[in-house]
Amino acid sequence: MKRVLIYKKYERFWHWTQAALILLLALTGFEVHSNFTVFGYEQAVFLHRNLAWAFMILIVFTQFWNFTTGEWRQYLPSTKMLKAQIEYYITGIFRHAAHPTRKTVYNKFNPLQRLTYLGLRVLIIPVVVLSGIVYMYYDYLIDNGIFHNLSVIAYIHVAGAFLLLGFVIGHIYLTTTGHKPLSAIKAMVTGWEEMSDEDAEIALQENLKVALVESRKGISGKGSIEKDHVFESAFEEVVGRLGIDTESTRLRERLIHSHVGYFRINREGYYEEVNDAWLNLYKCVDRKQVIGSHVSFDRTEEGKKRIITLVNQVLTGEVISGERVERVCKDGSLGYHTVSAVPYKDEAGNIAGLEGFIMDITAQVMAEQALEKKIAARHVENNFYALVSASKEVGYFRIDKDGFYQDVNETWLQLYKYDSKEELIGKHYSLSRTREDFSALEKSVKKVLLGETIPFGITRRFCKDGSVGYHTITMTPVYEGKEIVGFEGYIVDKTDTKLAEEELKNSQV
Amino acid sequence: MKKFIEIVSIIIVPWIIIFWIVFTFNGDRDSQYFSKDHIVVQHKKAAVDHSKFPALQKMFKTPQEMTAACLSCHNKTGQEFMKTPHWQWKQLDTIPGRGVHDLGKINLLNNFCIGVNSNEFMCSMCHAGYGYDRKGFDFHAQDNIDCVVCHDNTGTYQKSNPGKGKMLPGAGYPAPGTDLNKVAQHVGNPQKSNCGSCHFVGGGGNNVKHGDLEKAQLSCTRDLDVHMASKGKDAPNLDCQDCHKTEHHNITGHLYTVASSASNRSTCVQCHTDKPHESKLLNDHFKTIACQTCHIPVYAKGAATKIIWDWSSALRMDKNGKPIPGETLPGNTYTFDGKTFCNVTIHYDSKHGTAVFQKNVEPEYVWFNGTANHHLLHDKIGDTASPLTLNPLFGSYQDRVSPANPENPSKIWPVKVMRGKQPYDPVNRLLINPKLFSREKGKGALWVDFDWNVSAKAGMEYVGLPYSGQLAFMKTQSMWLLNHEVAPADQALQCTACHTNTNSKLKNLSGFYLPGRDNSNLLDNAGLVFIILVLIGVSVHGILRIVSRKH
Repeated sequence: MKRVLIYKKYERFWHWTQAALILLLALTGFEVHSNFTVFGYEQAVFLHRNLAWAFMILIVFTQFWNFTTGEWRQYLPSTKMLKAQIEYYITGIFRHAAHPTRKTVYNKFNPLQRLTYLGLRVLIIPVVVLSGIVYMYYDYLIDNGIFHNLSVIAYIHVAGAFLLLGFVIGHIYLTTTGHKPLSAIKAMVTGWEEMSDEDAEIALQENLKVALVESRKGISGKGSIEKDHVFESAFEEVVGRLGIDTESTRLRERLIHSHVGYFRINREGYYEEVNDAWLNLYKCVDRKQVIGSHVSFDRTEEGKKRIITLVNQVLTGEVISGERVERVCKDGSLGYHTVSAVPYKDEAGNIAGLEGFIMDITAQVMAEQALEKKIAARHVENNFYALVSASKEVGYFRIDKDGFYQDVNETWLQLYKYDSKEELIGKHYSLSRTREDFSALEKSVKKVLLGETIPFGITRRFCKDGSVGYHTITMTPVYEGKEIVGFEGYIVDKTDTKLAEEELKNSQV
Repeated sequence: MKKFIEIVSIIIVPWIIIFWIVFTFNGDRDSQYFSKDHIVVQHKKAAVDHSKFPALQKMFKTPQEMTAACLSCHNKTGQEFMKTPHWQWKQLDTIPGRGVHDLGKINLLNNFCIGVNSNEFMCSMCHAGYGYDRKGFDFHAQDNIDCVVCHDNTGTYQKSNPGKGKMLPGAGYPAPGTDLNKVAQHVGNPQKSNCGSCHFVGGGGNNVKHGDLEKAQLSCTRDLDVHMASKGKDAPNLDCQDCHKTEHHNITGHLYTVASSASNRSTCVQCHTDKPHESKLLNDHFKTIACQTCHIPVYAKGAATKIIWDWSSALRMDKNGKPIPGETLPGNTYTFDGKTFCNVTIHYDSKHGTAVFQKNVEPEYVWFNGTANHHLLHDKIGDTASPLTLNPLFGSYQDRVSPANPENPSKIWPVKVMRGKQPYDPVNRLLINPKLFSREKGKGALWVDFDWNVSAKAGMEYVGLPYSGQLAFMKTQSMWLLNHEVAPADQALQCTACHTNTNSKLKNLSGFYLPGRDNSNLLDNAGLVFIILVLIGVSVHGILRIVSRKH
């Protein structure tokens, strides 16, 4: 049995506050409506009003939270697996079948929950709240001749109350259908859900995948590389999203086998451990060369200063996230990555060193730098082509002013899954796009042909084999003398990212 | 530990904060709240000593001489007073939908002693004048004004009772032997006992008529009447005119058994404002509910009041053929018009028939917008199966929502409903104004000759209306709005007196939704069935899960 982080702090605050509010609202509301006495009629009326205000304020905060954090997507209804989920509750649960859906921090609700909670949010709660407001200000509505049939309002309000009460009963009952009868309630209290090892593994993988997407959001190809903050993403957020219990489980255990570059450094600044992904990024074959070496080794002067500052920062207990740093790879080439790090503690609780992960952004940064140089030098000295066309991570293309491909590099061909340049040169760039994609791109191309350089953001391509890919595209004009004869640019593949995002949007497991 | 702190800080602490706020600020103080402690009642001290005036030293042989002496100084007051209903027993008033009428005791019927006409001799015991014993009384002779019935401060002045004693000084004259000089030299502002000498004893006895005006109010604690209380703690000992503000003998206050329009009223608001509660929610109730509704939970707290008068049983004689002078009938419940009245005392005498008295009566409640209709003398009777209301009060929930007169929207008011059976002419379909009183036999007076037919004939002839010779009895009711015997705040009606679906005080008022009283049985039952189905559903599901786990 393992524990996976599912619920965030605000969610837990909101859920339990709302739970208490709804129960007290029901109690006071039914006291006003029927004949039992708990608080006394007058007190019940006042309490019901105050609770209603608290409830409305909570709704406003929560909807704000939902929209700013994108959590509202969790409530988007989906029919996928809906049938399976219903069947599970009707028959599967008695046969001890596995849950058809898994809970992750990105997909907390099964399709049935999505439907129910959406219904609550957009139908029942608004109806109860709005009818409640009219009920509360009924007097003023009469006075202004707007409305004078309280019974309709009262009946709607009461009907909504019954539905809510029914929901609460069903909701409480269904919490017992988790891994253990109380694990769902425990999860809502602590945030951590107990799961079987298998479920937890899958949930963790999902969490990791989406956390990467989130971390890379800054690396979108939009904007200038000077804007460092676009790379920032809160480390705690990532760790939280990964579902790593920092107290009971080390970051290491989660990241050591991932394709994120993991590192651990002791108090003195010497590498204690790195994973394969890290070695790959540093183009290093021999782990022994790294372990024991100082963190400032093999860096530019500027890079040394920066990394030592960051290390010291973490050693004082701070958490750094998404800091962009430069590295000198073992083959002497320069690389760029973002680094996020957190202190780790020995058994006595003292800071014993730091650990964290790096994510490569070299291709992106290189291409951007080349482009900037090209723009700075105009067409006088065009080494953009030289820099980018040979890149293994960046796809280069050149297209004449009529829209026909003149040149592409190997990486481009790989991304589009073409076998050779000859298949493509001389063909129109509309070839690999749908009508909508083309018309969107065409507008940008027109601007480029007038002399602008534009990052187009993420766009879709149809590969030769019919599969779909995503990449960011940046385009800049090609000059011959003073005349624009075409445009060139680079693409950086974002298919994994995009698919993960799509998945997040559809929120399917 | 860290997790525990986290749980406490994101769940427990917000709970404590939110519910502390919710429970602590559980009320809604009205920012315009006007405490009754701010009310100041000013009593003017007498500016002059009447005993020193030479005009009042002369021995008065007749009450008219005394009045002339009063008017010799108060030389405009006679003309002023003669315009008031205390003198004229009528005033011009507008009945909504029926126009302007001269309305008053003089031409309206009630279901107590029915009508003044032909009975003036008796009735003028309460006329602020001397000699009003028949129609044709000169309402312009100012010496006939009885000033001292209201202004006597000695407590010795009383009007004579024409029904008692052999010597009769004249209708509305002071009782024989009254020291008029002493009275005249000790006049002052009216005291409760002056007003009460008529208003407490209307209908022929203490508290018989109004139910909320009785002799007990002369000396009572706040439990009986918070305003008039003179005994016990915090007794304000108000005089009648502290509320019934008076200028030039025009006394505010409108009794809707003899008046119709929403004018010249004496109201609670004139002292208390319309924000007398700390709670805004309670103040908001004022839009729909008169103060009296909650604050007069019971009336007739001192003496019992008459709630039913059945004239049809009058004239039953004892076994010797003699009139029964008065007896209490056994039993303490009485059924009238399908309603059973409990804890009542039933009286019978041959002159009046059956009278039902009740003490500590709970009011009935009606919508009322400050205007009333009246069954006028010559009005034809329609349906006789259901009770005829002699002074139907105008008002309805609809008139609360969109009032005909926005200054006086309908509100819920407490009312004493006086029920009875009284004679009518089934042929001419007129209520009968019987002649009841005479000091002599053979004049057609019911209480002397014990014959309905001659009494009706004499009375109807007197008012100039036809009488067919046929007489029957029909049920009538009159509506007496309650304003006095206001209870202390802690005895006022509580929310659940009305906001309950078991025996709500307002159970007879319909056409609007009252939270707590009203519900839709269909909806509530459907809701209950829904909840039960959910409970059954989860129980069955849960049991199946447990059973399947064992297998």
